[in-house]
Order: sequence, then structure tokens, then C-alpha cells
Amino acid sequence: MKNQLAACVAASMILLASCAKPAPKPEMPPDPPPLGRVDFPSYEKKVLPNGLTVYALEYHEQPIVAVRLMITAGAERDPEQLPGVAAFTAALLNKGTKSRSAPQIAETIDAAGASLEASAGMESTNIMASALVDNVNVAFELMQDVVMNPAFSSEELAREQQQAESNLVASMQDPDFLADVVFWRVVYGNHPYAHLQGGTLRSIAAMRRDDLAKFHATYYAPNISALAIVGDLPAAESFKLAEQWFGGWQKKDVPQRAEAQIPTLNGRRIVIVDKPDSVQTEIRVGHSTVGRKDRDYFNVLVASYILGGSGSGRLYRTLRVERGLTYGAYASVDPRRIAGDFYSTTDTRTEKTGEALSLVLDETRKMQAAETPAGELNDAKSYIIGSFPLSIEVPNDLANRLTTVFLYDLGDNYLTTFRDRLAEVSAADVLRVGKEKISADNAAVVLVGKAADIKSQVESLGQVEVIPLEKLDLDSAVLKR
Amino acid sequence: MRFAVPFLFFLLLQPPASRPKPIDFKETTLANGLRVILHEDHSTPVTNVQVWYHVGSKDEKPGRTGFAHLFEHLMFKGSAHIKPEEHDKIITNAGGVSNAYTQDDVTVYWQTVPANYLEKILWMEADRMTTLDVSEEHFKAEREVVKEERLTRIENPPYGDIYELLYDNAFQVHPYKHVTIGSMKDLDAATIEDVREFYRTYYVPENATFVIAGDFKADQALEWMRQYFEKVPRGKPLTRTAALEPPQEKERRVLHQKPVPLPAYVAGYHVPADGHPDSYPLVIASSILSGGRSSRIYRSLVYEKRLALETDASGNFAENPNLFFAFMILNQGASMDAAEKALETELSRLGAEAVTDAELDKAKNKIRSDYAFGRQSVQDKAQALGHAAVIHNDTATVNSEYELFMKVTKDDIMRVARTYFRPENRTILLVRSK
Repeated sequence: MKNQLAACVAASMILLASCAKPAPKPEMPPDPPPLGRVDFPSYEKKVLPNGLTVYALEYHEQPIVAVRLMITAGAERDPEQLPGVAAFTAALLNKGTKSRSAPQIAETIDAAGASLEASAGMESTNIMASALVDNVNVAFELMQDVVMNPAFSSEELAREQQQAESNLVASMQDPDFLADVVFWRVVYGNHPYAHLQGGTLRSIAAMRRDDLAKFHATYYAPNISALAIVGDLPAAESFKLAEQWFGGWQKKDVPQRAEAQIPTLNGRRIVIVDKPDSVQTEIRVGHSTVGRKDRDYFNVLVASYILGGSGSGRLYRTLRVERGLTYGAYASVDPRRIAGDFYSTTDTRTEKTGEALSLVLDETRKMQAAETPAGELNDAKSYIIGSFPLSIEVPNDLANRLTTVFLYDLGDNYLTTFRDRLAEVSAADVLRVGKEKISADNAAVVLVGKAADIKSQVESLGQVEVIPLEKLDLDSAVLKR
Repeated sequence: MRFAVPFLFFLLLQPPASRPKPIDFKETTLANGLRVILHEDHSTPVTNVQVWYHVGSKDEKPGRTGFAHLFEHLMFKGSAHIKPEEHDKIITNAGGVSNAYTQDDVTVYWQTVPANYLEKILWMEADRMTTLDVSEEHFKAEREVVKEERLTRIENPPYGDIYELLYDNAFQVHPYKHVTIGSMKDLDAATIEDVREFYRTYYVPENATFVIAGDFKADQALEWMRQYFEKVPRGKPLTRTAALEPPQEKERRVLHQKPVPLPAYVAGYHVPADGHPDSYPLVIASSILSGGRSSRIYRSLVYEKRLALETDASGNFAENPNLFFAFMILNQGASMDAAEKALETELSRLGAEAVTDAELDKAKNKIRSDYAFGRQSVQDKAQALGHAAVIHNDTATVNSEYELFMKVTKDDIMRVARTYFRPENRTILLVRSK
């Protein structure tokens, strides 16, 4: 034992290999046997006479139910001068109805060990309830009340405004938040996709009860909504609950969206948000890309995985594994109806900002320069396809999958066919979208960090604009006061 | 005989309608001390494998804070048959997810994979348990990654260093004094020789617990476990030396001035270890204080007085006695004195008067629902089993603790509140701009 230890000490100067414990070398295992095709669990769909689409899916692992109501109107429908209306409307739902105060709602939900939350994203408002199955009626009763009879009391609005303002003040010191919101502004300019979904300091203060009531009256309608019920209930019971609680919801004529033009980026614009106390630089690189239903969506999705979809992506390998520059480096595409974001994200110590940014740009350019090797392409595709079973394990995820199909009108066979569509993506497709839909040159670069130290590191990479944090104005398309 | 060691079967009675389903499991220990816990769940063709090594940042030697976590990163840097980073690559290419985390008491490696990958995963875990192979170059590069992680988590975010400061002041001698990520200085001081020693000491079969939950047959999984792990030799006997923290006798108050957007307050009260009889009433107390919008602190500080933006009162129950936090970020313009007083009022009220029946019922309903919602995925279930096995050293507590929560009385809550929520038992950290 001692001799071996001494040998190890000597060997450890070079390699740890020789210090391996004296264990028999395991034989290589056979490759995994093929896994049978995993299908999305069967579900039923019905459209109620008022136009509400209802999905019912049975899940019996735990005595629970997840209910998700999606209204397909979100921050993109905010009045132009009042970003945050969709978010405030949603936030005020469980803060009082015509017959229940906010504390009464909270008390009822908590007493049942249930939850009821509402929030608005860019394209939809989601009201989510979950409960033990013996309390499913409590959840439905409250969900119906908050969706159909919200009070929007001025007192609750004032409280929400104060909270939102404090939250935003705190977020304005958070590099992650700053990088995201400035990136959206640089990419989308005046388009609603640039909206700060929670509101700006100005719009939060300007929000009035009537703005919320009007948003609710205009957009909260069964005929643009879907209700997914996933849980330990027979489907027939779920449909009965849906009809009982939401059958009386009145159909409305909802105005069409005004389709504004998505701006295009010409050249590379680098914006530094100067936060002098930073020890790291938060980095975003990207631009808008195809919409969710575009025929190139899956090609762009696969390209984003190759560039940086996981710990096996090129960005992670280059920036983290090979150079130790960061804790994480990823690329992704956030889909939306008419245009999604294609972006890379990483952070690094201040003095390595230029090196990290150059590497992100280089890796992005390589997507346009050569076809992805077959092995790497297959790995990316098998990752996306193989992760499907993991994404349909729990009721909330299942409900989310169903309402997403509804949101983008992907078709009833989408959940069973999308893997076939993904499997068809070829190296030529990836290279073509690399050239046509992805760019390192016509891209927004946002850096949040210590400008005095990073500006000179990135000046050779594009036109640089520095915005001191205290001058940053999220209400302005040019971002400055 | 293939199965020399008989299974221990825990067969539970069919529960009444509304009780969360218990997790059935089989447990066995291989001849070399390696513990195996199996839970079959055939609802989705995925399996979660977790390897719990019973070593964490509290086991680090002086001058090497952060080492247990740095070591965790190195477990992905290759072994005899697996190239650096290949472990993750094999899993992600199958559509699986893989990661690891280090805490004060444990280091846990986990992966969720399509069910057909179980044997391969076990073989890969055996490879890195027995033949880890880290080059000097990889060691140094990964140390830079960990230093970046420290910057990302602790140093760059506005409130990132609060808990590091709180623990440093709340503990005098016990190693919970330092947070898991460690200091830059100690990370820089670590050597590849430390890596070798740590590996030989702690990454041994008798210090490991395998939890496998998902779509597999228990007999088959155990056969693979024996095939790949039974011959791994034991290490040297382990001695654990965490110093005993003396009782705190005087309130400690620390003011931390740094440019934060809003002032923050956190108090840490010493509380007993996870699984101590008092930990159950303390969890119920936490729920009454800050669980949901109808809880006392939310109602008082956030809703009625509008003093706080965020609040929380909850215990960090660990293998050794740790802290119960009362935390808040103040609203814009709110007075710290008023907020501190309001928070203290709620904590001391718990010791002075009994909670209502409705509050106690509500808290127990929340536990009931947490048990159901917190145990949906195979990863959730494996996590609960691993915690019970390693932290409690009694896997059956994964189900039996539920009854202990249900038995908590109003008197229990008053008693623990009086015992632990005392000023002299706490350390307060105030964070504000100059």
C-alpha cells in the first residue's frame, strides 16, 4: 500500500491516471438496446360552444391536477405608450374579484394547499392552478372567478405598482436582466417585441385601472384561449369541469393584431452598458430570426443546438472547456409567432471580454463557412429528439406542451410528427440557414460590465456605443436619456 | 446465488384517498459497503440515476475551502474509458440530462436518461469511481471555470455575497462557516496532489449511495450494480472531524455596506440538524410565517405595511445543526427599523401565543401538497430517497417523516419558536448602500 502511494505521488506530477484505485477494468457495456418509440400520452380535445379549446389528459402518478388556461394575448398587445399592461392585468387577477378580496383568495388557495398564479408573456397570458385532486373544485372555482370577474381595485393596483417599481429598481442592477432587455431593444427597436414586459418606470407609474380593465375586456375571451387539464381525473370529468366553470364565458370579437415590421440590423452594433462595479462582463450576441411556423424553424433550431445548445455545443467547448473563460456559454432560439430571437449568451471576467466575444463571433461565422460534420449533426438531432420523453413527465409540462400547440396553431398531429420533421434536417439545410438566417456580422452585441476596461478590448470588433447605467432609458428606442 | 444479500422490502399499505403516494423502494448494500436504492416507476420510459458521495464542503481541510466542489467539476474530466467531457456528451446525445452539485454535506452526480441507457450509465459511473484521470492541464483550466462560477454567483450579482457573510459570522468553528464555493485564495492554492488524496479518501464504495428511479426492472439493475461495482475495493476507514459549534450566547450584528439597489436584511438563527424532532415543528412554523400570500410575514410586511419587496423565513436543515433564516429585501423608501421590528414581532409572536387551528391545518395541507407535487418526476423521487438515505441514514424516512409533520401540535410550534427564535441565538446581517 505504501509503495503504491509513493508511486502515485511521483506520478501525480504528470497524470492522475496511475493513481487509479486497483479495481478491475470494467468491460465495455453493449450499446443501449433500441428504445421503442415514445409517444405523447393520448389526450382528448374539445371546443366548447363559446370557442374555448379544452384539452384533457389523464395522469395517475400522484393525486394531483394541473390546470393551465392560456389566453393568446400578451405584451405584444400592450398599448404602444404603455408597456406592462398585459403583465399588470394578469398580476391583478388574483388580487381581488367582485366577490373576493386578495386576502380571501390567498387564504382559500393556501388552505387547500393549492396554487393559483397568473402572468403574461410576450404572446400570451397564462393562468395556472394546481391542486390535490380532492381540491380540484376549489381551484376551478377560483380560477373562473379571477379570470371572469377581476376587480382591478385601485388600492391593489397601487400596491402592485410599488412592488413592480421596487422590483425594476433592483433588476436594473442585475447584469443578466440588463443584458436581456437592452438586447431586445437593440434588435427590435420600436417593435412590440422590444417591450419591457413588466413595464418601465414611466409606464408603471402611468398605469391606471381603466387600462387594465380595457385590456381584460378586449382580450380575455374564450375564443382565443385554450384550457389544458392534466391530472388524476377521467377525461370526461375534466370536460365536465371545463363546461361547468368556463362554459358561460362570453365569446368576443377580438381585434386582429397590427403586424408591425421587424427591423433588420445592418452591420454589427456593440452596446456597452457601463456598470463600473462589475467584475465580470455579461454578453449577448444575436438578432431576430424566423418565426415559429416558418419552414426553416427546425433548421435554425438544430443550428442553434450545434452552436451552443448544451454542454456539448461549440461555444461551451471553446469558451469553457478549452479556455476556462466562463462558467457557461450557450446559444438558443426563442421562438415567437412572426420572429424569434437567435442569440448567444455567456459571461466572463472583465479582462477576458474581448477574447470571449471574438470566440463567440468566430464560432457563429463557422456555422456559415462549412457543413456540420455528420456525427455532430446527428448528435444535435438525437439530443433534441431524445429529450422528448423527459419533457412529458409531469402534468405542468404536459399542459404546457398542449397550450403551446394551440398558441402557434401547430396542428393536432404536431406532437406525434415533429420528431420526423427534425430527423429530416440535413447538413445542407443547417449550412443554408447558417448563411441566410444566422449572422455574426449583422448582429447586436450587448455587454454589461466595466466600460473603462472593456471598450478598448472590443473596439476592433464593431461600432461601440457606451451607455452609463444611470443614463440608460428603457423607454427610448435609442436607450438613452 | 446471484443475490447473496436479501432485499429489504418496504411494502406500504394502500394510503387513504388524499394522502400523497409513498415511494416504494428496495435497498441493498453490496459487500464493499456501496448502498443501492431502487424505485421502479414505469409511467414514462426514463430513468434517473443519482450517485451520492457523502462528502461536502464541511469535510474540506483548512486552506482548501471550495475543494469538494472543484473536485465535482473534475469528475467530468475523464477516466480510463471516458474522455474528458465525454460523460456529458454521451448523455446529451441520447437526449438525457446530466449534472452534479456540491453542498455542505454531500456531492451528488445525477442523470436522467431514456430508460435503455441505464446499463451504460452504471458502467460510466463505475469507470469514474475507479479510474478518474485528470491531467494537470485540465485541472488548471477547470479551476478557472470554478473561479468564474464564483464571480457569476457570488461576486457580480448585487446580493450574491449575503449568505457567505452571514455564515462567516454565524459560525465560529464548525466548517459550515465557509460556503461551498470557497475562496479564490484557497482555490488557487489547490494542487493536483489534493485531487488525488481527496479521490482516494472519499470516492470509495462505502461512502457512496446509488439511487436509481424510473423505468427498469430492479433485479436487472441490481445485477448490473454487482457486475460493475462489487469488486471495487473499500478505501481506508473514514474519520469525520467537523468541529462542534459552541452555543451562541450573544446576538451578533454585522453591517455590510455595498452599492445595492435596495437594502436587505437577513437573520440566521441556529437550529438543530435535519431529522431532529424539533425540525418538524420548525418547518411548519416556516410555512405559517412565509408560505404563500396568506402567511403571516407576507400579509404583514409585504401586503399590509408594504415594507418589504420579498421575504422568506425558512430553515436550512442539514446533517449538522445549521441556520433558520429570516430574510427580506426592503421596498423602496421603507424604513429598516420598522421592517426589522415588524419581522421580529412575527417571530416572537409564534412563541408567545398559539397559532390558530386554521393556520395549523393550512400548513399541514401545504406539506401534503408538497409531498405530492415535489415527487412527480423520477428525479424528484430519487432526490427524496437519496436525502433520506444519506442525510438521515434511514431511507424509510422518505415516507415516515410525513407522519411526523402531521403530528406537530400548536404547543410544539410555540416551544420551538421560544427555543430558537431568541435574539442571543441569532446573527443579523444588514446590507445597504453607504
